[in-house]
Amino acid sequence: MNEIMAVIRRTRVKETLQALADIGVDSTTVHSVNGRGKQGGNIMENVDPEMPKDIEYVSKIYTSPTPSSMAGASTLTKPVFWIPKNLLDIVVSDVPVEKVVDAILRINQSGKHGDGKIFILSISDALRLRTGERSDAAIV
Amino acid sequence: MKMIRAIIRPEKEHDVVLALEGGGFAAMTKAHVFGRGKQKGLQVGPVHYDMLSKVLLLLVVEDDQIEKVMSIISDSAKTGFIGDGKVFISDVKEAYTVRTGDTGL
Repeated sequence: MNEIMAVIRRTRVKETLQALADIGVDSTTVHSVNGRGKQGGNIMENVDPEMPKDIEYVSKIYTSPTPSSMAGASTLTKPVFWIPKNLLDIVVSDVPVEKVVDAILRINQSGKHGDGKIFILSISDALRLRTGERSDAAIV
Repeated sequence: MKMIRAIIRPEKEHDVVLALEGGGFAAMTKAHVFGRGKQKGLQVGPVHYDMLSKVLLLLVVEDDQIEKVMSIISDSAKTGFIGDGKVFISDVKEAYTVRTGDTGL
């Protein structure tokens, strides 16, 4: 049994769930989380690349507000930026992990920073509460 | 790779995140959760709180960085009082970057 944890954009969740259903993965847990990547969540340069560099970034915030630009407007001495994401938690036993990963990659690749990460963990046991089934039988 | 799930005090979140960032671990996910520990919540006079609000930080690091992350978290999240939280570590078999499809962190 493997657990697939995918942190993805909120706008792609519906399509991702549909793509997962198509390959036979129907059960998913969706968490609402905040996240940041290697860049520390700071995507100020990506807010509006057309904007000249000498304009105060406050005006950039005004023209295109994003969660991170709002964080930039706060009075923290060092800004800590958080970007709203959704975390999909999927546990599979019979469907190969590669298939699930391919489906998530296909839907979520926009080519821009912030597409997210996928982590694969192994699960040692599972229990279906309704029937008391254990291990693989609890998931299928 | 290892996944670290740290359940910390909400008021310590900023300190812990800045300390981790200073140590070179900028990438993480946070979720606001409710939980309780061995004390089954908190009793303040006649009022009993079943669940207390906490922040769950989730980060994945290479195996040899574990000790460094653990010391950063334990130094910055510690107050010495009940309710400081717990840290759980589990194995991660693989990691993918969605944008490029590459494996690894």
